[in-house]
Amino acid sequence: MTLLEVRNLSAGYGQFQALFDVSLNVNEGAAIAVIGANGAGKSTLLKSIAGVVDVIFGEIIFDGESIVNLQPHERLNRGIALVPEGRRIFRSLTVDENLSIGAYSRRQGVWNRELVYEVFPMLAKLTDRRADKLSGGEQQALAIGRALMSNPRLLLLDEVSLGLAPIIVKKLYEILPRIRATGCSLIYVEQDTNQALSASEYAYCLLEGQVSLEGKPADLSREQIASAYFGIGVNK
Amino acid sequence: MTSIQEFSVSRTTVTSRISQSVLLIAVFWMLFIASGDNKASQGKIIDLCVFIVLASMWNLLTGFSGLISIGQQAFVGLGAYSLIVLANGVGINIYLAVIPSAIIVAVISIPLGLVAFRLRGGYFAIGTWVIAEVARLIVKNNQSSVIGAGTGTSLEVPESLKSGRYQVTTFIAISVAVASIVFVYLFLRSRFGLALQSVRDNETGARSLGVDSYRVRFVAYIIASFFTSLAAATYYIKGLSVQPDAAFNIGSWTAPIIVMVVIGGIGTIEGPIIGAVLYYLVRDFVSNHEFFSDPTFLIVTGVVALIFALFVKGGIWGLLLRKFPKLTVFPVKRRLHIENFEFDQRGN
Amino acid sequence: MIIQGVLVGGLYAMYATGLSVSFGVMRLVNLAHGDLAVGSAFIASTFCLATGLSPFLAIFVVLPLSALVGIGLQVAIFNRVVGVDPSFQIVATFGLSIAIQNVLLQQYTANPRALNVGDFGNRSLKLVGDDVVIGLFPLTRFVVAVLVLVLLSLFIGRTRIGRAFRATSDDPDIARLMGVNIRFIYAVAFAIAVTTVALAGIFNGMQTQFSAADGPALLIYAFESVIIGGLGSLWGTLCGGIILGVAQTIGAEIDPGWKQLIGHLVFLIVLLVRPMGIFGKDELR
Repeated sequence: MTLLEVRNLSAGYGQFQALFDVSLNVNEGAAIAVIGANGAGKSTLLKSIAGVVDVIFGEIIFDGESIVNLQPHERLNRGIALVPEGRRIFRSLTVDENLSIGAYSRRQGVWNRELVYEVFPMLAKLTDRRADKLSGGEQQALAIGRALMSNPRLLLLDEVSLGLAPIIVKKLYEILPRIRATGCSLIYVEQDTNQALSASEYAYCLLEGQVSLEGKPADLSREQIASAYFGIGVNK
Repeated sequence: MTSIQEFSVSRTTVTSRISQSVLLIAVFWMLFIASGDNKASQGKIIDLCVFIVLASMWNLLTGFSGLISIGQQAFVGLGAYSLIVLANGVGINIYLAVIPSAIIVAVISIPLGLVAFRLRGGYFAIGTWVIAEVARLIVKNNQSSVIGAGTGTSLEVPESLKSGRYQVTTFIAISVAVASIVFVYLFLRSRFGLALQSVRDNETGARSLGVDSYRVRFVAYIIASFFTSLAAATYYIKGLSVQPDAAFNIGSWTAPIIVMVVIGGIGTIEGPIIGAVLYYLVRDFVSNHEFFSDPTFLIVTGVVALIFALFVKGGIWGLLLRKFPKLTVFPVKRRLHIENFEFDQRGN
Repeated sequence: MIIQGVLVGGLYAMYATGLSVSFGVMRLVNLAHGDLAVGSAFIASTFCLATGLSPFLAIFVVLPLSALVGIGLQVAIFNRVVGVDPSFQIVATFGLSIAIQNVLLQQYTANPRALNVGDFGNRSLKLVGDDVVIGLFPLTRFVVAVLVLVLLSLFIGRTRIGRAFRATSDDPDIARLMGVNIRFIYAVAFAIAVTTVALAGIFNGMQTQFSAADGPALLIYAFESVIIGGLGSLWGTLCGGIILGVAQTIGAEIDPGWKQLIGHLVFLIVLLVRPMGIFGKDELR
């Protein structure tokens, strides 16, 4: 039941290559963490899966189908949704309109406005508020809710904890199991390793565009993670 | 890891020396014609030099500063009329009035720039056009007899200067063209020029490095206005008759300039020169062989500009550069020499 | 007299709408905008002369045609210049403008034409007794303009595609991630722009003469209306158009040569004093 298979992926921006031969698997219903320092290529990995970054070499197989040549909106139609780094909600639209746009692809599933408001009660009170008038945490909730509206099978979360107070981050991560319960698989990219590792069943660590460590969080020691994260004492 | 023992950084290359010599020969040839009697050729050289300057200045704004202007005709008209005011009105010798008239226009360009710079990008472009229109309408509707309102006026040439006029004007035209190219070349090689290009490439990045993007662009705007009006003054010393609708006409000035630079190669010093020469040759050919009507010629030039803007963004010079990467006439980039090797900025 | 200016403003707002929409959604400034209006008027005129039908009927033929032309232009030209260095956008549309003007010149010569609406152009309406009289035609034109703006406003504010417009305007990359087909959105936006400006061009041709070189002036009026009213606000554009119309009418009263000049000066003053326009906002609404 492999939902997503990334094989020997090399990707980058124009002349700048950010990923070198990265391989990764996500099973149906799983939660995977991708950790690493700034610039390690974590965001690039998610963006390549979502289709906004060009693939130089390698394969991405989603539900048995190669999606490497598909446009972002085509990948969304197949069930891959990205919650981008930096929230990136639509500033001039209201909370409710942001959610509506999330449903643009009209994919069927359990997620609808009511469910999103139930899972994120803070948004329910702000339905008509312009998105640029929300706090950081509210915007992050909105970004996730918006992605959920497309009823994804794979949700990609890019550094949702960035710039948020620990309490808010904790709250957001508490909601993730509910998302998984609806049959959605998750990949989270984080710089905050604790949160990401405790919420996932398998983890990858990226260093300078390559996988430096992978395994079940329980099996990985602090020292292993630290050296894989920072590249100390790792033979290249 | 290789160690670098001997290195130096330089700008000139063998090819640039060769091509600069070729240009120098061309200039001497034009000067030779200037000292002769062939008014037709002299007239053509004057026109060509004027357009080289205009094209280079537009290129300075658009290609090097990222300021897209379709209002350069404002400075052509203002240059023409300030020459008239100084020569006819105040009585200064027509040749001596050229530089002061350009200085006046450069000063006028300051408040104009303050207004124009409120806008950006495409709207800035239209804004420059509106400014040109305002200038045209003010000149057209004015009451002064020196300027002559809608019907225009003529530059008064005293008897003593009449016979040598074409020759002197040709010399002036060549000098202005050479001066403007040399100026642009030196300017771009300077720190200021580097700052300007960095703003064009990435304004936020440049500002975070301490470049005052507003000031840098404003200076480029003033410089362009100065040289444009120098060229205009030269043009009208030859042509003598000035009318607001012609002097401020976007189709007569800005349209050919844009076509020249786009075809020649935007963002390079060599591009506008190539474009101007090519345009002139084609124009000449077309007017001597009557199968093209005026509108047809313009349709073709409009479409050609469109095609180049879409598909051949580097212009003809860009195409040549791709085939011969070491080709330069006016080297602005620095090159690193290591022992026997030469690298340019991209590490080729 | 002021009312005349207001009514003309409606026409200017119609010209400006297309510019506003295409800039808001795509950051595209189309210098050939005015020429498209003039071109539509000429096509309507050709249609009317050929079939003998009223120009009002010509609208139903020309508008769908202009939508198609808009989509064609978008696909062939504008998709290549959206999002890249704006200088190429300006140059490309400038080249297009010159080409269109001269094609019209070649086809139709420099002679001005008009669209004949018969008696309708002369009828007038009396308000407030005998003192205030307004032409029925300008009134109709104004009402149509307002109607167009209302429809467009509703479209952008309430429909799924309208939301996609606004999302694309805010953040095209993320809109793509939401499943929005950006090329499609751009095509629709531009089709709207060309259709509205064609309508404006035809209405203009019904009242005054038009000729091949009129395009640039219309572009400037549209542009000034948008800037005075404020970027990003459709109703602002209407106000901008009205202010411009009134300013020009007052200018023309003082001296016929001053009509355009006063309009330009008002524009420049607004630009200096309040560059974001009277109702300026950052996004398309």
